[in-house]
Parts: sequence; structure tokens; C-alpha cells
Amino acid sequence: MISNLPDLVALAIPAFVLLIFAEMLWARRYSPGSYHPNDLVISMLLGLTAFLAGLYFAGPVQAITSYIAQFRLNQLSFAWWVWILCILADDFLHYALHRVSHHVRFLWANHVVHHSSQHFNLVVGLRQSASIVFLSALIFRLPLVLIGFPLEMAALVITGNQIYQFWTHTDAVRNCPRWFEFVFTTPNHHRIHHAANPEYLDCNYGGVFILWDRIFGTFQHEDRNNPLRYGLVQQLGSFNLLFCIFHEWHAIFIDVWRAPWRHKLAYFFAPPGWSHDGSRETSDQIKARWRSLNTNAVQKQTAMEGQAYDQPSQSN
Amino acid sequence: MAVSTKIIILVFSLLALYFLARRMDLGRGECIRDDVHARQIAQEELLGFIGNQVLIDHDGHSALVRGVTNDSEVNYAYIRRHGAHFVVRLVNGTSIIQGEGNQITLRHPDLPRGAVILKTSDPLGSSQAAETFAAYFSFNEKC
Repeated sequence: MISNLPDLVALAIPAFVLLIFAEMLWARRYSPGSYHPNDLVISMLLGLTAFLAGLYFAGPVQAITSYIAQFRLNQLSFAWWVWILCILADDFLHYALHRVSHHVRFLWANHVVHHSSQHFNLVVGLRQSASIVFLSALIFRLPLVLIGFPLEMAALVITGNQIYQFWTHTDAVRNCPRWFEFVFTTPNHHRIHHAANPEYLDCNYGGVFILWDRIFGTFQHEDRNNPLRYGLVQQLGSFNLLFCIFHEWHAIFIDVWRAPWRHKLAYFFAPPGWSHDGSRETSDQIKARWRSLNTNAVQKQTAMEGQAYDQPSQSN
Repeated sequence: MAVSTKIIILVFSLLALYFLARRMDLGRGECIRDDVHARQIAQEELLGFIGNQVLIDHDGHSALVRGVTNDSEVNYAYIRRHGAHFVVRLVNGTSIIQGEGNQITLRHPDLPRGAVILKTSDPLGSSQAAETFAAYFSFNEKC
């Protein structure tokens, strides 16, 4: 049944390539630093490995989902409202997986690949980890099958969600209609998600709908006066493909090796940046420190302004 | 479309886009212009870091900034150009700085291959700077 579905990826590839070329032309004129040839190659190779992983896992994923489908709670039809429900449910599951991937280190070790570029362009949209393909296709999408959405519908919606997210990775689009920005994820939202500035860490997780972030309190507006720095808190600084894929796993294993026994598991499940001796910072701690530094700076500024104001009256 | 066809198209697209990006001269980033620029890069990347003394490599691709973090500890920020951007590493009291001729060697486990070398255009300035940095470093160690 599933093999008869339209091949959305095959249709999307030529469009992706043309859009990347168009963005490169834009970058040449307005923002030459938003692309780098080596970074482009790494991102596209990562996209290629994720694509191959998708093909490799397609059989096992299909077999497991078909098996799980026996235990589904309902048998939903192909009615239009079921499509809408399926799109909403799939995107909510994407939001959940995405949010958890930023807060659980072994999931972050998969997802960090996508964030490791210091650039923000359409090619970064293709920069995916091969292992996250399996995780997202299976673990977090099984609920769709259990709810009772037809397998063909779920497969199409999942692919459509991934294709939609491609265009949200660009600096070239700055303005979208307000109603659209309120409901859907746009480049304006997603570039903040890729920023490493302390104030923008861990926000705007939405794939198709930004509504999930608005509902669950993870939405963040961009302050255009504050330039964005893309990438990681500790930048990768390498164009090595293997280092890019495995650096976080390597770091986890070193941490686990060195940690006392009672803390070893925490290095897999605690948030990125957590350490048993408090020598490192999680993103929440970085944000808290940023707030505290900002508050102190404002207090100092206010005190200085107060002194400057008092000075003439004292001399009088 | 067959899987092999898709892979061939993807690889061909990758090569074509790579050569186009090179041809368009994309990714040309700026060098570290001066001390102010180096301090600005370090302070933007490292939360709470306040830069002070600066050593810039002769080609402007890397720099070492001595400064303090918000807990008033003396630290060094090593800045390196990476593609069109910069990578900054905070190196703390376990680093070793050696000055010889017109180059300064900084050794620290967090640095690429464990050490970096900064070459300055002025040999005397370099050794003086290394001494200054080393003096601050040993002062920090005593604390």
C-alpha cells in the first residue's frame, strides 16, 4: 500500500536545489558570509546520509508500524477533517520530540548535528543526523498509528512536515503576513531557534505551527537590535564530517568514563551542559546568568544616572 | 524515481552547488581588525567575559585576549577564524603560554591538537606580550 504513495522527496529535491541556488545568488549580493563552501558540503553530506538512513530504515520502520497498527484504537477514514487532525497531531509530536531533543543529552547528541553550523541558510535545513531519522520516524510517530490514522496518511503528513521545514532555514525572508506569522513557523521564528545568544536558547521548537510554542510558553520574538549568532554555545569549529556527527557522543562517553558511578547515567539523560560537579552550565543556567548580568548592568546604569543627576544639586 | 538516480542527482547537486559557492566567492569573512574587534568577538561569544589585553596573529586569523569572567577570575579567550565566522574558546588557568622570537605558543587541552601558535609581525612586541601574559598567568596561579 505505502509503496503506491507519491514520492514527495523526489518531487522536492529539484525544488530544494533551485531554491538553494536562488538563496546563494541573494547571499552573493546581500550577505556573502551566510554561506561557506565547506559548510555547504558538510550540510549536504549530512543530508545525504540522513536520506540513505531513511531508505535503510524504511523497511524496519514500515514493518514495526504495520505490526503496531493492529493495536490501533480507531480506524479513521481519509475524510478532510482527518487529514487536518493528522497534520496537527504529527506537528505536535514533532514539537514534543524537538523540545525533548534539546533537554535530554543523548537525544541532543543526535540533534546537535543540525545546530552545529554557524551559518543559517537553506542547506542547514538538510543538515540532519541519520539517527534522528530513525527516532523521529518510529518512536515519536507511532502514536499517530495507534490513534488510528491510516498509515499512508501518516507517511505523507510526516514527509510533508519535513519538506515544509526546509524553507524556514533562511535569512533571505524577513517579512511574512502577520496572520501567517501567528499560526505558522516562518524563518523569522526559526532563525531565533538556531541562535546561540543566551536569551534565545531553547525556544521556538515548532515545525509547521508556531502555535505550540505560543501555547506551551516557549515562544520568543526576535529583537532586531540584537544581532543573532548562529550555532552552538561552544562552537564546533570544524568542517570534519565525522567530528560533526560524533563529537557529542564522544563527549558523552568521556564524561561517563570520568564520572563517579552514581552519576554516569545522568550524563545520558540530564540536559546538555549538566555536570555532576557543577563545572559546566545548562542552557537554563546560562539564561539565568545572562538575566542576572543584564539586571546588574541596568542597576549600575541607573545608579550612575542617579549620581549624575544628584551632582549639580550637591554643588549648589 | 529509482533510489540510485536520486543519489546521483543529490551528489551532482552537491558538487555543482559547492563549485558555484566557490565561484561566487561566498563565505569570505573578515579578519580580526584590531584590539577592539578582538575584544568585541570574545565578549559576544563568552557570556560575562570582559577583555583586556589582546594579541593578534600577524594574518589576523586568530587572537588571544586576556580578560576576566564575571567571577573575577583571569582567563584567556582564544579566537580563531572558522569559515566566515569566528570560534572562541575560553582557556583557563591550566593553560601554558610560552613566548619565543616572534611567536607565542598557548597549550591547553581544549585547544585544537592541544596547542596553538600565534605569530606576530613584531618579534620584540611578541616576547614582551608573552612575558606580560605569562606574568598575569602566574599571578593568577598564585591566587
